Amino acid sequence: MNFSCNNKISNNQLLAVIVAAFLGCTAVSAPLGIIETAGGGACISVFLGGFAASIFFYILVRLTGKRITDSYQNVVYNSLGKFLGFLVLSAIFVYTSVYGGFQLSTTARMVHFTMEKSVSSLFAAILIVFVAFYTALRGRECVGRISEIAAVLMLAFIVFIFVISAPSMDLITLRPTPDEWRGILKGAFMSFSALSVAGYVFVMLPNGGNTKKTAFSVFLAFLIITVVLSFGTALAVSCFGVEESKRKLWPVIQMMNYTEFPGSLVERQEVLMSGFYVFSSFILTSLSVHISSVVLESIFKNINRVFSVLAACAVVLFFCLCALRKGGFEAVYSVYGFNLAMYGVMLLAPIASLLRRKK
Amino acid sequence: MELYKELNKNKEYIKNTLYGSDDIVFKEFENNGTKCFLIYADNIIRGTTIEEGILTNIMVRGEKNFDAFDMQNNLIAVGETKLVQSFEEVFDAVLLGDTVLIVENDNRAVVISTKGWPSRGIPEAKTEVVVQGPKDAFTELGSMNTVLIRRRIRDTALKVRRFKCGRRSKTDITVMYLKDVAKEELVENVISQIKSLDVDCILDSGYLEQFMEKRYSSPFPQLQLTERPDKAASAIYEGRVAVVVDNSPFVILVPSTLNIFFQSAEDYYERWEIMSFMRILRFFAAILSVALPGLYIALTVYRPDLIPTSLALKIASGRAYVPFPAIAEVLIMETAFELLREAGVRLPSPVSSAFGIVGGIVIGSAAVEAGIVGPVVVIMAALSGICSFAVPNPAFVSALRIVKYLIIFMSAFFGLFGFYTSVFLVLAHLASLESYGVPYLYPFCGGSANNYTDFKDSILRVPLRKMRRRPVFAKAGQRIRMLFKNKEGNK
Amino acid sequence: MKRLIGFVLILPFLVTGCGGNEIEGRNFVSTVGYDTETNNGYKISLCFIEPDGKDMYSAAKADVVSPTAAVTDKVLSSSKRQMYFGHLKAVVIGRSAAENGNLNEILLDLSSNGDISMDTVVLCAKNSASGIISTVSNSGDGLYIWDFYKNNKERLYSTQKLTLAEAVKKLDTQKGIVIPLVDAEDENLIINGGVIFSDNVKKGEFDNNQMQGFIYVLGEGKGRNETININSEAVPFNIEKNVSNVEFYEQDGVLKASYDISFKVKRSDGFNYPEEASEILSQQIKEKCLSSVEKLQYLNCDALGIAQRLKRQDNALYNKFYSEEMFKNMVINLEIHVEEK
Repeated sequence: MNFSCNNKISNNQLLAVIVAAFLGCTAVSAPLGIIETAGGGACISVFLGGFAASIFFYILVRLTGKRITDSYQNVVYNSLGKFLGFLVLSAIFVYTSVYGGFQLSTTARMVHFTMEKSVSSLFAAILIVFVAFYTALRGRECVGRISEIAAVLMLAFIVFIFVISAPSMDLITLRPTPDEWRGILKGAFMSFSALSVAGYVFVMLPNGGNTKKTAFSVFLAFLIITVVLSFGTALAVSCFGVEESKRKLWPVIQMMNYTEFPGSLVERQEVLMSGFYVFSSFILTSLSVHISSVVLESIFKNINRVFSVLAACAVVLFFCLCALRKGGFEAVYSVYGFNLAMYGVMLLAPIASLLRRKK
Repeated sequence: MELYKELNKNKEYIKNTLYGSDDIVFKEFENNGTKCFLIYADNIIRGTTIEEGILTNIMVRGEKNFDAFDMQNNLIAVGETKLVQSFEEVFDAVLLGDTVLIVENDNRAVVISTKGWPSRGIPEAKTEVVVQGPKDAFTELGSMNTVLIRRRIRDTALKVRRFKCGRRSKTDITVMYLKDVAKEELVENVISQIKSLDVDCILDSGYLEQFMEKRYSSPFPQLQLTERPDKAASAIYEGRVAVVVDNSPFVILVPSTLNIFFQSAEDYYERWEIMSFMRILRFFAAILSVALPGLYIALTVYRPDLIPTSLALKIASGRAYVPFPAIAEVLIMETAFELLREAGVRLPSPVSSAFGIVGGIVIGSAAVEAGIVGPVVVIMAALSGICSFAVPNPAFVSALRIVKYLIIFMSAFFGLFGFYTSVFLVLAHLASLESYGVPYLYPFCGGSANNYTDFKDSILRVPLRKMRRRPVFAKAGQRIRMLFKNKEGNK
Repeated sequence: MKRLIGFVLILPFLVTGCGGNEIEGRNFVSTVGYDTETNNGYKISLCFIEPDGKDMYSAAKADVVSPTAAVTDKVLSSSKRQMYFGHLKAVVIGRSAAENGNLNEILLDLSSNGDISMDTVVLCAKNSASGIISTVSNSGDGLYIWDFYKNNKERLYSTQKLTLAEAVKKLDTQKGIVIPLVDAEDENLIINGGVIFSDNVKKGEFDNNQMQGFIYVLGEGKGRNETININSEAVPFNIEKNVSNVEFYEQDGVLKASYDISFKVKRSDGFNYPEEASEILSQQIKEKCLSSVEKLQYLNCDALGIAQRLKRQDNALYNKFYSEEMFKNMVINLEIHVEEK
């Protein structure tokens, strides 16, 4: 039996997709809000919240995995009925498009400010959507495969950075003060929420198969993200100090500037780091477009594949443009994260329980 | 159309159909009163077979009223014969180099194998040269190529299935595989593809390759072409299928992944340490050949702060009097290098090496001295070109040459971001490719299908003793290819 | 449909703001100096390197009078090329700019410029920054300061390398900072000593010995040489390790900090070391450290980051004794331990 051409991804590819897609975006956007809340104990917040998210998703996949014998969309329809299924899938469509669009706007801005001033945020976004269109059109196997390569490269690069930067860490800055513990717990909840947005990868779940292994893959993926993010936050805080970190837009990226590569040929390392983030963003945007298009196809049964992907791209780009306009940046940071993530959690939990009951 | 019983009618029909083909020989003779009619194509047949194996026997030992069947079994002293009943089969046989004998009062004809196509003997491999290892290569003769593979696989499980492809060319296509190792669905897939082809002619394996590829619009080859019998045999041992095309010295191997294009035949003949180093070098060279020009443009035009200061100053001063922008400079050099490469292929060999030296000197030094290009660009273009030669497979190198221009243009328009975008696009394209169900980027993607054992023969080549499993191409239950005996003599 | 997709694909290439400035069309600014003008503006001196095909490159100087400290690529100069700050190596803050309290504005402006690397070295001029820039540009290739730090990376004797990143961080967290001092003498630059800043204003200067003491208290003395004079002979010790730890405690209602500074030193070959050499070394180091700490306390400049460390180590104590003069009133004890290898 061929192990390809079946529009499914393996457990390892699912792990890679989650790591590759969410490592970059959470590394960039999540730590800022958490550092503002938790101060020097931000890395503790990130770890607590991330670990909780890993456990949460492990349980969720174990509960729902066995039920997903068909595609996720069909299971939703079969379990909830046509009307409710339509509503839920529409909500998922809007949710993935909004999240994808907002992340895209962050990337586009970062490309303009950090990487290439001559490329405007708009064109950066258009290029990323173009790449996402191509990748999403090729199907989830393409997304899964490229994530396998990207995840390994990203993790190797990050581990290398951490190994170089770790000796110069100022641990004194990281020691939380007693009055910071409340902020730490709040930050943990923010971290949990930030990672919960990854819940929509359920649409990508391998059908059937060993649920235990799938659940473990998901758990491991979130754990990897948590560990990397915690360490990155710790490095950023020890590098800049708490107050200066709060002023940085993307502390984990800009921290790269302070890292000295031994015998380095390249002068501005934070541009390299932002390259890794751009790769992650490509994968996340492709994933968002793919899932949106798949959900769209399940809502409108006879839609052409190219049209559905194109429509998904258009919607994602629309939300990205909304976020890119003046004042949109602040709106993104106020809406996204806590609020948006909670909607994701709210969507998944009742579906899981309904699926269980309907059996 | 069926043959007639009357010989004259058969003669007339055949002569009318083959009218104007002066190399077709018609011989009428008698066998103790029974009239016979012999048809063959001159110069395609083996020299003395007709005289010794056919005519002499029939004329001397033939008896009256022998029909075609009797002729076939008692008189014709040639190994391979068969009876046919249609004119189409008669014509096919004659045009393929067989001899056809029609006997009076019989609507059957005897097809006698007398193929003796002229060929140039077993040559040396030209495109896949190795230092250590066999040097023989395939020829244009399909039967010879089959023999060269058979020499290396003396196993009853080796199946050789023949088909004809091409409405007018009727090219012999031979599919070779190990029955107990190759996946049945792969074999059936390949055969059904060949059978379903309805085309005028198949002149070369390259034709067939393009028809068999799923994503023909991709510049990356999805099937491997090889001129080495040892490589073909090795592929068959791994569970892949070899397709031998008559008139072509290149054999198609399916399925093929990106990893395979970085493997050279001598990787397995030399020591694993040096060959692992070579593999790493090839991958690095491929990346460099594709990425270097684009990266140069992205860094010098958009992000000179990423380049070390002394290097940036050297590049800037080298370009101080160059009239063209960096993108034009790079395109001029790359195009010049491509022209040199293309011209060198078609020149006669005594002249080509001198031409290469002169061309390099002219384009390199003179262009720099004239101020048309900067010295760094010359080095960069040369390095990029040389790195592309490090990849063993010419078809894959051609793809890299095309992809390089995409990266150059994206970097020229969008700087470093354009570079990252184009690299990701290429990766995404590679990730979307498949070769007969196997992901193109295997084992880097989907390596878990064979428990990641195929990594042992990817970027690094582990010692042969450690390569105990066949790759994922083989059937699931046939993955073990090597067993060692322990001290007790047990495997 | 395919045509539409094709048009959409080509569109970005047609309308994008493609093309940057070619590398040979830029002047690489290596050093920037800031002096204040009488009308509250700045005189910004630039040392830039012009690529020249014949002689490789040559350095030149340009002065700009600007109402703000903002350094942009639109700076006018006599050169036809664009001023490019991507390879800025050093920033020199002149005496006038240091005394007028513009440090924060200068450093923040520099750090917010995306072209400028945070690895840029920050220095303070003894007199005017313009004079330093002239010396740098007259040195030939305009990379004097960068070459100095590159070649003396591990063994900066009497000074330290302060980057823009560290400077901004320290200003933010400690409110006090010591910036290495640079002076021009006979077309040469001398980098030793330091300028003490508190609340963005220059408060005083460290001399050579005090600067070394400051470095030792910070625990950054590794790789340096400490020389003692015995019988008019200079005898060097190589410092292989320098660790500094601080403990805080309260005694008799007074906040005290106890520094434990340890050294591992090695003698150099070819010198005669008397028996009391280690004691003299220990004493000398202690004097230097004490001198630097006393000066900082006198000026109430917490360049050591003591307040931050106290906050992290013992928040209760910090809250109890926190005031603007906490550092000045603190009793700081230094324990020096020298171990010979």
